[in-house]
Amino acid sequence: MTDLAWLTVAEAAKLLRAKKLSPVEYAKALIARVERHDGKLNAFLRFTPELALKDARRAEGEIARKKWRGPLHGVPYALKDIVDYTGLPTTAHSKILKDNVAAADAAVTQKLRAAGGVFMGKLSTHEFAIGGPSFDLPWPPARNPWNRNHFCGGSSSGAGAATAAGFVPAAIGTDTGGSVRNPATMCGIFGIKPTYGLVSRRGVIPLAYSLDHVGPLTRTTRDNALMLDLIAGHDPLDPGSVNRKLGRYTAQLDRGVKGLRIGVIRHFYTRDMEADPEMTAGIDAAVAKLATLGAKVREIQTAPLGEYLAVNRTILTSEAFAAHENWMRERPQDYGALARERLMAGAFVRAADYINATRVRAKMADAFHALFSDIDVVVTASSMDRPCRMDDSKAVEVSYGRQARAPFNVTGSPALSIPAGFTKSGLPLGIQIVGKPYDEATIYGVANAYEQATEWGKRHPTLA
Amino acid sequence: MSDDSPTLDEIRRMAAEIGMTRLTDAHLEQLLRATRTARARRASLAIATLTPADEPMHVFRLEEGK
Repeated sequence: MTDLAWLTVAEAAKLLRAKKLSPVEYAKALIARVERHDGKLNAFLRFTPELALKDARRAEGEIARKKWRGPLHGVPYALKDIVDYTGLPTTAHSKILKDNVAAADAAVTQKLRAAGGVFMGKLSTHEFAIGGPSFDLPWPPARNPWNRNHFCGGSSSGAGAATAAGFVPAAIGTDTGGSVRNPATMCGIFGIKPTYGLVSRRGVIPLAYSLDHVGPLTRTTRDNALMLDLIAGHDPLDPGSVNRKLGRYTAQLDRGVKGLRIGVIRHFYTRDMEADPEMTAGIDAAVAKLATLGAKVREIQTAPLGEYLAVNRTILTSEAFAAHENWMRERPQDYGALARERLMAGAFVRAADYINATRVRAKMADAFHALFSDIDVVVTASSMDRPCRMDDSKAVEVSYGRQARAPFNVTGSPALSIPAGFTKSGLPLGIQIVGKPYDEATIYGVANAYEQATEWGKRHPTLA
Repeated sequence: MSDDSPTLDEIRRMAAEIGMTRLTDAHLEQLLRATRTARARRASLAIATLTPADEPMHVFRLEEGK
């Protein structure tokens, strides 16, 4: 049998349903892998093998009685530690919430438990999904499985590291300015920020209310679509949740890209910000590959990247400071230095600047969505730079702003980061595929076509 | 002071006015840097194209029954 560490959700589901794989044996294999390797990667903030085995035994009994719940039944997953799981602390990787035990499951947790998933634990994040990677917190930061001396992106850093390392086939992250897609790019996996309101935020510690999204990280496009199928849906208890009929995100996976109209926003990574040459070459090669697969590719223009980033940061810091103001008054010393400084940026933003940012946002979103009148998807950069070294704090800080992910938090559009090659030194490169609101299925179709035509997603890091 | 570039003493007073009285000198240095960065960002907001009729993203509509 294939090494269990690299089974995809879809592959595992097939084996589990056919009783060719035991959920307990599968969980035990991944538990052993985490125990052997996570001391060097710090992907898990709270590893819960006892809960995993409990879930796995239940799944085994149910599947034996032919009560198969679906593709996650008996499959391990893990949650970024800003997502509530009843009875466990949700710490946000912060001393401030060290003892914050969740009284109820987050909406997304409820769905994954109902689907029969095997819960492996809570994953490292940047403090409050904003301050990291930091070495002055109660838990160490996650590291990149491709080279542990390098940054694995964030803020869903543990979700990226755990999925890429073969600790779990799927993890849940959150994304306010790019925090699912950044670790997906840096760790060579697939991570989506779905359309705003598609996945409930209930039970997830907020960073910025109008920009926060919940999304899955996986090692294949198909698994990402499967996970979104499970977690999408209306939640009347989340005021941002949309109530609409949903299709199946796996429905168009095999449609190919022939005749599909792809708009490339090249000015983001060539003119507005100059990306690292290896990253630019990787993106351009991916676009060329999509053209050879039959897509109609052309360059398109949108607002300059800096304008999008200014809107994102003005709104993000204002909303985040509003959420943190009381702690900032009472317990400023309990934040790590990075989170404290990034959160403080919202303290004295003028009300008019915040309102104006939301006015610009509305115009930007309208203009961006109008582009889709004659294109089907957008392709552009995710990160401008290769994963930098963890000990190079300046490079880490610079990487926070050198990205093209935040524009799609501003517009609320669905955006998926997928692997697009490797640097000469063996670190992952990535691109973003962006769609019109609620059209995740088309994004997945493009991603799957590219994935099947390349080898990038089939490579795995070797853990020493 | 320049509106976009407060001094350390000014930032200490501004912090006190909103109840942030427990900040150490190091924290105040952080607040100063963060505030300067945030205010400098204002120049990148594309407000020149806005007209008074351009409304914020969060203007809402009430559905019947709410």
